[in-house]
Amino acid sequence: MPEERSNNAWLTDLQSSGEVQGAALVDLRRYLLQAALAYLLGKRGDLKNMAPEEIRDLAEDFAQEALIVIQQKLNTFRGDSKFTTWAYRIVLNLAASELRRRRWRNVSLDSLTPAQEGPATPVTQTPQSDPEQDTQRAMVMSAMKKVIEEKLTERQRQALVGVKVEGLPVSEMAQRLKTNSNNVYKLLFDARQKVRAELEKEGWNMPAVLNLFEGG
Amino acid sequence: MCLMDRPSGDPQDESYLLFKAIFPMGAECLSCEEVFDMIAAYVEQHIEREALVARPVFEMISEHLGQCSGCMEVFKSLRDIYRLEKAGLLADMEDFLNTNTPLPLTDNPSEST
Repeated sequence: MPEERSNNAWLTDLQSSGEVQGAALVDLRRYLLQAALAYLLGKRGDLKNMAPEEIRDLAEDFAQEALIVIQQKLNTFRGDSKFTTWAYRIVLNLAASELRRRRWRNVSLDSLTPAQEGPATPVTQTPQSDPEQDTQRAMVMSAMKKVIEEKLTERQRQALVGVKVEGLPVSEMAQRLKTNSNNVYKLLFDARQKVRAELEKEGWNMPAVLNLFEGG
Repeated sequence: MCLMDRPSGDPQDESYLLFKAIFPMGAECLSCEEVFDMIAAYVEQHIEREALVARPVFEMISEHLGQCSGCMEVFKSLRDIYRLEKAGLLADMEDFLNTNTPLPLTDNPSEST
């Protein structure tokens, strides 16, 4: 186990050069590898077909990739946690995204259904629901689905439904749409703005819509 | 007005998800990016309750985690790794891997998000 560094020591060493920086990078990579391994060991159910060496190789890849990201983001570390905890979250996020991507790899975009045909389903139906409120909610949902189907571009619709309804990772959606993650976020943003604007055009008052859904 | 405070809707329901997609959160709610930015400090305070002071924003992070499975996964994983490191076990991950030994992780009932 490498000697524990303070947050300042990590920053100073990683931002220096030569042997000092090299040693810090080796130490950090070791920590990241351990964290990636711990994460993957916790996901053994998802990796049951992988041999220990393959899991280790995967962890090595995550550690290496995280090391690069961390070097690029060093100036965003504010020191409100241990440096290693801050760094672990980056390797965890990479690993979690990759595992999600693998799970989604075989899911076809064709299977994504943007809006159900037929009457809209009220968002909430509990024994305590107010029938009038349920009806209004159903009307809002129906209007929203209509706008999504008729007013959004195909790519906006795919991004919105794929990411927000089906839970597809943004990186995977970017791959499917042959673009990058930033563009997917832009598609989502534009889709949201357009739906809101269209609903307002149709006479829906946004604060009233939000209130309608408040508190069940 | 924060959508995440709204108990309405089944999180798995398509209509609820669509509504949440269009009205994701009010100004006082946190985005996933903001939660990710603060998750390390949040995890440390979550584990070191007596040693570290909770920041007001942590309450909002807790609310976000209750609604966001992706952020919750990162939180739980980071929390587990922090615990393993604290217990001096993180350096032994290769041994756990090679011997196919389950990680000694148990939920602590005194902790909650």
